[in-house]
Amino acid sequence: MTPTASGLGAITPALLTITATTDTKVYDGTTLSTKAPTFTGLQFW
Amino acid sequence: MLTISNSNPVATTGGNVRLETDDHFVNNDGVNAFNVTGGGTWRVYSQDPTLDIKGGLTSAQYNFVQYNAPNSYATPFANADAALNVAASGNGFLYAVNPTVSTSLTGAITKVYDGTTAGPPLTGSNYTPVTGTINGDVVTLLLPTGPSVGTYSDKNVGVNKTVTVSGGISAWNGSGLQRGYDSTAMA
Repeated sequence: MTPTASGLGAITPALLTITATTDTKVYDGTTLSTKAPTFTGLQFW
Repeated sequence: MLTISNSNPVATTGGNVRLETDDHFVNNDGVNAFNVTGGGTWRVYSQDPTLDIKGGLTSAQYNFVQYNAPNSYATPFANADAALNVAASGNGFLYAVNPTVSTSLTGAITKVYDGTTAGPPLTGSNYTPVTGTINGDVVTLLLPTGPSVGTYSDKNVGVNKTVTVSGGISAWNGSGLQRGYDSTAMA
């Protein structure tokens, strides 16, 4: 039998930052932008 | 019960002495209970040190205490050390009792989500003091430290998650006399 020790721990959320990208456009009557924001801290598992 | 009577030491020259009892050992002859000369050694196989009466025998007279060493009348003395888990030499007390020392994790064990169940770095302060020693022994646990020695029960964000360290833990008594503590069953 392998020696083991156990207890309680926590996992806290990782920081995710979303930054809008500056955009300009000719007036088209909408609020839409074609520029995607940038993400830092994204994790894909 | 195995008794050494007053003024009746166990004596031999050039040989070894092995006393065994399925009960407990009583020494009524003080520090001179064994008179073993000529390079021989003496061993007392008993059940539990808390039941024995050493009658003045101290570490000045013996070299080690070994637990988890059941006596075996059929084992030749020359083969006894290996066959009976004796990990030392010289004079000694050997006991059938098999004490188990334990520890568990304590304190802040936290990491930022990284998509894995790998535990955070742990130090000695993350382990509770050793329990399970007997007979006044001082036993230190050798513990693994460093990153990823523990494993979370799952990889997700949350609290009160079970963290388990498996392997790398063993009982050690430094330069003390005691041997044979079992660390295979941690809490």
